[in-house]
Amino acid sequence: MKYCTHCGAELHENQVICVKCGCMVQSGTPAAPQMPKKRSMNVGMLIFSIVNLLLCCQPLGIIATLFTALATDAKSDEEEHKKLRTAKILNIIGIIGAVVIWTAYIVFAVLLELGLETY
Amino acid sequence: MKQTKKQTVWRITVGVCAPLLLALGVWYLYAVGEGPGCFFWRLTGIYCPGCGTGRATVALLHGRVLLALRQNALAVLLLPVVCYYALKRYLAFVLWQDVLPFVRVGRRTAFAFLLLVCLFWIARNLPFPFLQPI
Repeated sequence: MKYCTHCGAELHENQVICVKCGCMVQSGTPAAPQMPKKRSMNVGMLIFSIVNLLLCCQPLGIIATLFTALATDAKSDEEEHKKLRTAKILNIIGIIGAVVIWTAYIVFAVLLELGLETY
Repeated sequence: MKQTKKQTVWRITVGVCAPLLLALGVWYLYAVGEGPGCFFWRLTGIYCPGCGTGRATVALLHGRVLLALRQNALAVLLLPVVCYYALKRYLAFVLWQDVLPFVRVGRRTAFAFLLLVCLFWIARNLPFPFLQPI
């Protein structure tokens, strides 16, 4: 079997121009077929999602973890970027929501305590 | 890469404020003895995978590891990883270089973790009390 030296597409033995990329096929060692790019896990986003999952908003944390894991399967850099961005937005919403609720809770608890001491 | 004055000021601010905020949080948990509680549990009556993390941290601060594991085993096991990663990012931000290594995490590990969280979530809502916080 012959492969295009430029894009790695499969070619017939007598083919001189690749129908996929239009390049002239060079004689000599054939190039290996192009494999999809293996993407590494964004550990930062994964840990961000775990913190969101355990401490802030469980449903959003689960979806964010899922998006972070699925970003490794993205076919293009743009798709990976989109998935990680979605995970980031979900984590930010979860964490800001939790911080707002916790702060309000602590402020009300302190105010209530002060109020009880006054009267 | 040369740092601008603004970046240096920002780095010093974060470098000083982050440990102070952490110390404030730790002091709050140590002195008060409990976090604000889980809102998911208050709304639904169902224990979430994070329920008991505050109480587990308090137990750890008082040196009671077994009680901490009883409160939330998953959070106690994940706490060192999260703390190490936070320290790594903090040092990378403050020192302008990544000095601490970290393991590569694969897709399978991430999905296995999600499965573990879901199983833990289900298990602690079953009528066996050993995974529920006290």
